[in-house]
Amino acid sequence: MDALRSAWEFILAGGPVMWPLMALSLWLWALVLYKFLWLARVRRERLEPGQALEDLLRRRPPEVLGPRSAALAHFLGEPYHAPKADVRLWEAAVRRQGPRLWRHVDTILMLAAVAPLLGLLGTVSGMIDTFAVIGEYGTGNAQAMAGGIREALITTETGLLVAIPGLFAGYVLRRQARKLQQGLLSFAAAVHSWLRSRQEAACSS
Amino acid sequence: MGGRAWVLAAVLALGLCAPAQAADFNQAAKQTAQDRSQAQAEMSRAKQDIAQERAAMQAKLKALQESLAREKKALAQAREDLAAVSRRRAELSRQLAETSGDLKELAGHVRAAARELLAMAERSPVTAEDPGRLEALRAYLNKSRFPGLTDIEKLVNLYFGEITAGGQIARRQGALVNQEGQDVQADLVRLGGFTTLYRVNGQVGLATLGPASGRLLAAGGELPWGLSGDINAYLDRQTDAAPLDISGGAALKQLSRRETLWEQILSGGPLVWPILAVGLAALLLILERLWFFRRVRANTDEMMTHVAELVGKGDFAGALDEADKQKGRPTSNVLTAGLALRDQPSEVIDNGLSEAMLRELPRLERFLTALKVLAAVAPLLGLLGTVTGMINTFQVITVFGTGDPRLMAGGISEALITTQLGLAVAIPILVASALLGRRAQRLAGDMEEKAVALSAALIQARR
Repeated sequence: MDALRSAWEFILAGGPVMWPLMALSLWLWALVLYKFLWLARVRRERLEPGQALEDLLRRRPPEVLGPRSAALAHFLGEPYHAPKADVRLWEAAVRRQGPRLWRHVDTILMLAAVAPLLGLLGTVSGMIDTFAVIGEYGTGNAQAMAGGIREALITTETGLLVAIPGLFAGYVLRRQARKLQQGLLSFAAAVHSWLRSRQEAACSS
Repeated sequence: MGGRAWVLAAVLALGLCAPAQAADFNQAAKQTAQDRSQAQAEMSRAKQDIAQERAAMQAKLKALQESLAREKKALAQAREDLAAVSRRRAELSRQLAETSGDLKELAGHVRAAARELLAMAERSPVTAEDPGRLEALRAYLNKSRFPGLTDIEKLVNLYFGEITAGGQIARRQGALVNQEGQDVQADLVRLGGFTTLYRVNGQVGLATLGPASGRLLAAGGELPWGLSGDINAYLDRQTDAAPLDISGGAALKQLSRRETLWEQILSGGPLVWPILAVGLAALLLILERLWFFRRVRANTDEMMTHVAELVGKGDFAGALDEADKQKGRPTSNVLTAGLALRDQPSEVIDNGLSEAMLRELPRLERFLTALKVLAAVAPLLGLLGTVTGMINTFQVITVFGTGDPRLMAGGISEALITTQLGLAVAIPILVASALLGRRAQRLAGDMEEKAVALSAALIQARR
């Protein structure tokens, strides 16, 4: 309770910039949490090319767990299949997965970049207050001055507190997304070569 | 004395004349002897007189000398007395100086105490209940008036009164000068020596004391958000928590001096306008983009499924109609371009599709670069405004020196406003441009995906 109250006082002392900063922080961390949960779920996917070929031959859509199975399910869900067009359909199905992989990562990084700017905004307004107090009361009234300085320092601190872990999380998520994408691409390439060989076989027959 | 000289002169004259009168010598001799004895007798008488006179004179001299000696003695005595008296006088005047110094010090203390209490009373809301005490206190400051014991007692009582009142919460009806400068009767609650809360016709606020008049003045300016509710609740005795101005009026003064946001922004100088223009331009661009993305948003998956179905059946006209339903949207445009080339070889179709996509891309990404530029320019303009403001401030310093920090600080405070405004404008633009950019990317990706799907469907249909 005491910790909550002191946190509340901390926020109040930061001035009006604290509210957008808090909203931004909530948004950022909600996205980070969502993305991490998604990644944890997706990483359980163990769809190897061999298994995928089996599914393809049986025309049985796999259980959708991650990008690979999603691509495969989408591919198998297409109404018309012909060996000649399959390669392209597969390409389209793989391409579909890209946005979902990268979803939110850019937003997280952008928010992490904006947070220190908001902190800076708070600092500037705090300094404006401080100088306005000096302009009115001279340098004698240290207590009134301290309010502005406090606001200035607290917002910068909060901006950095939000931004540094946010940036860190953003980069981790980006690396994970890239790893997933690479996995997806190599999986797609394996399926692709199989489809192509089938297409060639179909053409030659 | 004069008589004797005459006698002598007469004798000599007779002697000289004697030879000439030899004839009558005997007689003359007789006469002479007679004269002589007469003269001798006169002489002895004169001598006797002289001796008598001398004795008298000497006696007088002696008396005078005696008197002189007496007088001298008296003088010496008097001198001694004078010295003693003046010593005593010096002693007494020293004592007087000492005593009156103490007295002056006492009066000084009393005046200083009265001045202190006056300074306190001029700010204390307690004075409003007893406006006469300001006059009473000012009377103490009159230098020619000497504070007596009763005055001192009165001052002490005033002090104790202030102390007692400082611990009280006093509710009463009283006069108040409201924000329009009119005298009104108000419900007043004085909270110790800090603040007075008032309520007139449902309007609540904090009141300060007019230092000269000793009357309550409603504090100017708008109350901070939520404060009037608190005051109302306290006046209705619903809560024990009341807002206080513990700074003794300084906070209320600042409240009345608070500028509106717009005034504050305008005080930033001429560079406020370009920043606002940048903000406005960015706002228009963002609205245009939002409107555009809203317009082109459509369920392309469903459309693509239908189109692929129709293409698979060989119903190209139906597929074109289906794609035309979303006319104007980028994916639909690409599909239409692809379907128009359905009889061409697959390479031509691919090229046609990518060409159509290239045609669509600028439409999707329009203004996004401009938004990024605006987001970058706004803080720079703010910085420029700050530097300009600082230059003005330093010019003030070259004229007036750094003696008064107020002159300088006010300028710096105003100079920083443009930086604040620049940042405040840039941050939303930054966020919006990033979000819009991602939406454009998603649309472009969707377009590409559908193009590939269409080319696959066309290849299939040619089977």
